[in-house]
Amino acid sequence: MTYVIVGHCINDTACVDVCPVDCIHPSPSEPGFKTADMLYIDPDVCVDCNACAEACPIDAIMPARKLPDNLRHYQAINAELAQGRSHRLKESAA
Amino acid sequence: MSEKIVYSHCHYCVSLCGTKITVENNRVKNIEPDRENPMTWKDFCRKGKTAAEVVEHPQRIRTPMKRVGDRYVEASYEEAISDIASRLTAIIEQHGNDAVGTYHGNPLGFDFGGSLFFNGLLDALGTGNRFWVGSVDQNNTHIVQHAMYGSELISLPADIDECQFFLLLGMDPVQSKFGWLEVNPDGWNRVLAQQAKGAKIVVVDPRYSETAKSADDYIAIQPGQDWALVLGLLHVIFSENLQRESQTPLSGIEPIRDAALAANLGELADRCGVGAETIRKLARAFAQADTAMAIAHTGVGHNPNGTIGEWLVTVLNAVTNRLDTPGGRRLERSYLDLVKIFSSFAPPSSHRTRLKNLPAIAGFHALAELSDEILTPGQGQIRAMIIANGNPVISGPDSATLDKALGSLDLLVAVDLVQRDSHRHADWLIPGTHFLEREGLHCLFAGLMDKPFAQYANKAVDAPAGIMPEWQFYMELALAMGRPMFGKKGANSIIKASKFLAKITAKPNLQLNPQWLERILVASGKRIKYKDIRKHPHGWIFAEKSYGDLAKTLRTPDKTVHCSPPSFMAALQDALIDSRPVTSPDFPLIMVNKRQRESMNSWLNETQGMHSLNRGNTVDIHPDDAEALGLIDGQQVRISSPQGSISLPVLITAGGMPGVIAVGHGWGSTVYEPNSGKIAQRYGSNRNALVDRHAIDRFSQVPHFNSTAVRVEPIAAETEQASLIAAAQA
Repeated sequence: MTYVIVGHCINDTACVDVCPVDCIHPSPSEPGFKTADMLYIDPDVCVDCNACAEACPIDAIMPARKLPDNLRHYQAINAELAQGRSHRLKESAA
Repeated sequence: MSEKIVYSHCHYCVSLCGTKITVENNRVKNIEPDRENPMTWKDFCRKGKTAAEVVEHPQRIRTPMKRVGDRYVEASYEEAISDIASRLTAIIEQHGNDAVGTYHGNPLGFDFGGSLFFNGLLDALGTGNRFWVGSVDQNNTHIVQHAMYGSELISLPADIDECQFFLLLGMDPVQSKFGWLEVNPDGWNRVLAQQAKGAKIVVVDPRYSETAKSADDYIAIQPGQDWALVLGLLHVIFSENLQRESQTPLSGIEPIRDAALAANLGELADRCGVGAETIRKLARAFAQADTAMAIAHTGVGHNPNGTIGEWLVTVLNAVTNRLDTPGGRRLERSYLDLVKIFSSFAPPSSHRTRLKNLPAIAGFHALAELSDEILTPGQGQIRAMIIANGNPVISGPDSATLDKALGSLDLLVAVDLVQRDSHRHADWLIPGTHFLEREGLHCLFAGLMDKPFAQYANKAVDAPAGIMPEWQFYMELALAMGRPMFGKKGANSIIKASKFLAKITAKPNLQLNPQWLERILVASGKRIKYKDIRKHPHGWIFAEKSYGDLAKTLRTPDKTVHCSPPSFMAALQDALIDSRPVTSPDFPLIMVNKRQRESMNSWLNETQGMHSLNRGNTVDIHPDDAEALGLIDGQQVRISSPQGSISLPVLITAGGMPGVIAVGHGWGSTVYEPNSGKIAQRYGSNRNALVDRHAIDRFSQVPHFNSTAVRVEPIAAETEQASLIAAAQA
């Protein structure tokens, strides 16, 4: 299980501030923050604590199980963005 | 630069999340969940993340502080111990042992060594006036466990992963993560996983909580009337012969069966505000589910009949074979037999309070009584208090009166990390240690686990130089008073000999310390070895869970679960004829509590990291009530009871019971700057200030935190009116 950020995200960073496991990217200190279309949650790191959903001012975060059909594809989008980030981190470390 | 990784577990709440702590030069750089912990890390929260902020708290007490006028000055431990010892001795000599009272809060419960040695000091002092936080929390469960199982310490964790039907009363596991007197890591997500496989979730609550939103059925109930609903369920189960044969031996079913059958379902339905047909359907569904559990938390417990509610919930589980069966409430026998150890070595206290003649529960008296025991003159009046890691002024009812009482003492000693509301009048502030600065095996949690699990908590950082561990302070105080630690003759000689040995061999561990007792306790269980626990830094699931140990563990003389304790039966009859409403024309609304994750255990609710954003203290009001009062979201209102008033912003919340407002606890506490006496931090308003200290559950002695009658008034309108009057007069 994970939480998912959906398309109407406005890159407000309330969720980044409250996440206990720093799984929401890009954070303001990370590259790409200024140009990001939306933030995303790394499903491998998320602990389902609900803090981000409570903090989000526009209800753009929800548990994957509660995604309505018209937003379901955002689960894959979050996962792909997170994988892309892990990949970049590995490459830059190599 | 020396960076190291320490594996340990968090000590804020009973999720006990495994933690991976990065430490550099004795400073915590990062805390994250330890994903290699086989049992628990998925409830990891902001509070665990920011725990180190408290280690480095700007107002942290770093040395004993002595009150001089209305300020504090630094002092040595020698001076502190010597002064406190001589003043306590003088008070005891003049007024008797009971003239010294004590209170301890939740953080001490999470410090096993500190708890053991604090109790050792209390036995040394010989006082019966011991008060604790359980009396504003879980006392009703201890009472029911004692009456039905024969021990105050038999707690049955929920067996979530096998359960097909969850009946959740007065609990909000989205916030609490399912923990109370049980350790169910990731509990709520596991409930949801069961739901995805077909299990049903029924939530009973006056408040339409986040948990209620995920339920298959949500039942809005009148606050404090859960017992009537559950009696109604029993009525249907007995009328329709839906009982199941119990695998745990039961006795005394007849009296409660007769009472349930005699009760009128329509009247019970009226009482609790749940339709008779809903009760019938729920009873059938619960009894007919292959596996099921009914579970009640503080929403049921903190009410006039909270103990009756907990008892009837346990009877419901008992007569449908949900005790110690898969998917029900399971006993974890763990690595030591705590029930047996405590029954043999720490018999229940027989002390009764001076004014109300009430018994101790699990060894301690109720916070609700403390103010009067301090303020009322006479033989046995409390004249000195030791408060260990607690803030009873905020946690308990009627804060103003307790504050006044603490101000009237001859001596007040407070042990804590920072100076809080309850320490405002302290003569001595004694530093405490943070859990990141301690290590140890918390044996008392062993039986609360939902799997056979043990984890030794490793120390992340050293406490600031010069801070003495609390256990040692309590021991040194007993030695300085020349009173036998643990109340045992000869104990002090052993302690002194061990100290001498430690000194001459330069091996500090040879001095009596909590680890001695941890080792003895683990060895007594003959199940696993202490050194093997230490070999598992991420924690150790040392066996498969099993069923059927409750029957062997029962401490009732006949080794059965007693379903109809006579005192409960009598109280039930009283409850059935008592129809006095809680509310009145002056105070027409009922205030209930609201769990918020980080303020669940309210200690250390005030670090900066907890207030980054979006944590608010509001009063949740039903749309009908808001409309009747002309309130809008965000508007500031005054909430009043006969005890006092607080003000909070409104949050209009649809879906629950009209006539009920919800205000979370754990707010409005203060951190002082001891050198200047200034207030360093305070967030929100303390709702417990509105609760009556004299209205308590007759068994658990817990105040009516969830049935407090209040009045809500808009502040702005009043101010407007006042200014109009002022303008008219001018």
